[in-house]
Amino acid sequence: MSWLDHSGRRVLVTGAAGGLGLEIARRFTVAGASVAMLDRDPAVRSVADEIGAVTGLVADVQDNEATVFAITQSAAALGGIDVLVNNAGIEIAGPLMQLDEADLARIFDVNVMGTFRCTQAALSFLTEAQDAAVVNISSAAGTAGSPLLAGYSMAKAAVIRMTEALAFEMREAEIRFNAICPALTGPTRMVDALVAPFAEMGLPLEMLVAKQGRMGEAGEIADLVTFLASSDAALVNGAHYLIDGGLTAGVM
Amino acid sequence: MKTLDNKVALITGGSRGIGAAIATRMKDDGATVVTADLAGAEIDCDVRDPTAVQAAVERVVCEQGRLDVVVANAGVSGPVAPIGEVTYEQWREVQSVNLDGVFHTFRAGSAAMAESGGGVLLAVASIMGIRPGPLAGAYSAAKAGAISLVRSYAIDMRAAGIRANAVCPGFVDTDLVRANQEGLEDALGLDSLDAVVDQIQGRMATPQDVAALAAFLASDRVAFMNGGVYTVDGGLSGNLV
Repeated sequence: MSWLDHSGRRVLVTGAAGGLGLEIARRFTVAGASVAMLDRDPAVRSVADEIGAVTGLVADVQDNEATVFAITQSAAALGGIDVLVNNAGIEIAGPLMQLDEADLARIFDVNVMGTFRCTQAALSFLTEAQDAAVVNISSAAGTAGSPLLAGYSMAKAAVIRMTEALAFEMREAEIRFNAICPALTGPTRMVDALVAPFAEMGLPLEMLVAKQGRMGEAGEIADLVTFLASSDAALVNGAHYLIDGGLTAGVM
Repeated sequence: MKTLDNKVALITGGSRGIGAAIATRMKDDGATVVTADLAGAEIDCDVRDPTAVQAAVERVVCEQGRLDVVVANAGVSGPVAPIGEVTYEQWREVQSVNLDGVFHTFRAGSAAMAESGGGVLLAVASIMGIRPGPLAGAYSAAKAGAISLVRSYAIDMRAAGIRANAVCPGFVDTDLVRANQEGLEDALGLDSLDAVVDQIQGRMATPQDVAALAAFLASDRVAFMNGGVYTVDGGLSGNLV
């Protein structure tokens, strides 16, 4: 099985109603996988129908009970879970010292605790699967200080550390854990939401885009996810793979 | 439609081990592959010699009409010794193959690729280029240098349509690793390198594990992957234990 062929694989993608999550779900269905999509946005149900996913389920990853219920339902619909893609995430742009404590807590709760909750909820199914893989969506911002995205950056760094440790802890259970670190990818709502705050603070987004060469495309980010979930990456574990056009390769 | 259809790839150190596995996998994925090595490959080439590397690249372009992917894979393991006991001659030998060789290969390869609108440079580095391995200081320094070269190409040649990435395997089951196994076991007081590798890496990597990653990175489908350092080590480099 190469990374292009996921036939027979049962895949759960969180934050899948739009943007990168939707594209990841789409690539897995194109590659022959059975896909369940999770999102807090009820639109996930119709989106799942449109792309030929098995099911779309509504749950907010901030709500542990709802998340456990939805992931159990996903496993029932798919007949198990081989691959979990923790994509659900939020960002709030702005200088860190101007961020409310509650907003910073929410960034951590969705990006870090949400990843933890979904992984824990899916663990019993992943343990039973063959060649199980978890792919966490971190960010290039998780690998370097990121002004105006400090909360997000801190949370995405935490996701990388979680990924590394789980790769070791869950090796006996034969579940691989990897993270990907994309740079700005668009068009997505997340990137659109950055334009105004960055411009206001005298840091036009174009400067960042120039440093990464161009805007990333959701399709290529999704291809990387399907690679890491495949047997082609059988010994890739605890890694965080950059896909950032060279943004973090040099100092300027 | 395969991921490397219509691509022409040159692989140094392509006669055996990881290089041979990359050649096989890239062919399977649709590429036309030309291997170079000291002996036993399609082109005889010593990567320490810039003229020989240039000639190899020119031959590929002449015979295949283009060059799209260059894999700087040729390497030596160097001495098993504490860094303070490595002689200058040993140091130079490792640098001349593992670092100068990448410089020559990328320089000749990128010039040829720039003429046809771009391409992909890959270096087979090592996790020891991220953090050094014990008794492998010369090797580790050269691999760190190779990673830095990759990043320089990533930022300097992006406008020419060239991207560069480093593949960083952990312990791989190759002649190169096996040749040093006894020396390493003796020096570190290990009963079995394999048992240690099983513990820290899950299992020994196969050349095919590395080849699958290299072939993936060569694909235009992930053209946004540039200047990255991609480990294939079972989680070894990401953990303290």
